[in-house]
Amino acid sequence: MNKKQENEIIQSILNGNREKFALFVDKYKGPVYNLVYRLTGSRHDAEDLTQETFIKAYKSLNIFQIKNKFFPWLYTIAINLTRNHLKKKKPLFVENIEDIKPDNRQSDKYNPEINLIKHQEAQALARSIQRIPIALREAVILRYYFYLPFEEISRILCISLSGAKMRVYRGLEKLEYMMKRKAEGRVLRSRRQRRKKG
Amino acid sequence: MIYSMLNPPKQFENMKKFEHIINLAQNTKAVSSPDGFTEKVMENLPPDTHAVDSKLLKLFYLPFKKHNFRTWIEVETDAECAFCFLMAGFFYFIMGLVLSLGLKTMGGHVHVSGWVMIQPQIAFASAIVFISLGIFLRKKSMLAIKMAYSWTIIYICFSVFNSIGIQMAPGNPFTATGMLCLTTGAVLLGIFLAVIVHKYREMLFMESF
Repeated sequence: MNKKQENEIIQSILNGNREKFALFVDKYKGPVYNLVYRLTGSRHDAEDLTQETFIKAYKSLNIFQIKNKFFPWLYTIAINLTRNHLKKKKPLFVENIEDIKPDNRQSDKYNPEINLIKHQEAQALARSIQRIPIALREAVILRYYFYLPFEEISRILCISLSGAKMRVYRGLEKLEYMMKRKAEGRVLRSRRQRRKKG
Repeated sequence: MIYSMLNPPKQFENMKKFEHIINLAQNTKAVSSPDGFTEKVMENLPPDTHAVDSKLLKLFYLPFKKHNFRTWIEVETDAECAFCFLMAGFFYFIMGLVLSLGLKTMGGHVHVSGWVMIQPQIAFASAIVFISLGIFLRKKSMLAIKMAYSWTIIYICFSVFNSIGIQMAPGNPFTATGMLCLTTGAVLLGIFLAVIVHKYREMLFMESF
């Protein structure tokens, strides 16, 4: 679906053909669900908020500007809803994110040991992301899980370009610090276990 | 977009320091949405109301959307917020100096009322408050934010009443146009500072969870 087709669909929806909205839901449900899931760390919340995002997008379709891209607009709605949700309800614990696995495109896919380490590290990263401030979390997720350019991130988050770069950098700094501490903790724990066994 | 998700670029920028984290994030599998999601959304869509109000809404909404006003003023750190208050304080300090010198030289020639004569003191007092708030804002405390916000509101109201007072004072040396420009400037400065404090508060709030 290109930009022109998207515009035609929007026009058609605005003229009363609401069934066509299913095309948008089908196309963007994956990315929006992913985004909200990464932000909240909960599948249940992600489902509710993604649904809410599409309903809000449908209601506000009349103020959408045809010359703009559809997905950044949709992401902005999703992020605002998630922010409001997190303001009301702080996540008490981070869900066990078992579906975060190292990608099979890696060259070491046949090495189970390396795969296991990467799997653990990816899980540690997912948990650390849940602990950094939401403003930084949004920027890091959009940049490194969604591969968006800084210009797009600044538009989605309604901040300046330098603001987007700064948030990504600060987010990465915090993540690096947390990951280091986790790794140190793991080493200490394994040493203690070895001493106990010994 | 979906293409880029399935075919991630190897590296976006040279941030060697965080390479490990970036690689981990980029190699993480995407989660898939639950089955029957589209149907669920379509069932919950509200009845169509678009056609009637879309043109009218766009007419009012378009100018605001065209220029994203939210990005015009932005605060990311406590230092930026404090800097604005310190600069406002510095501005009032200079203004106090100019006013005191100007009124001193003018005082001998024209009879000026008491309210006009205390303007330098008012400017100096404002400078002290702005600078103190600027220093206090560096503490990242909610009390500082509340105080700064209240002060900007008081400052806006006071600027308006002060200019009315000056206009009504006998022997007023300012023209009405000059006073109007000064008051507009003061009110705009107050609004700017209030927006800065609001944005800073939002930023702090978002960082707190």
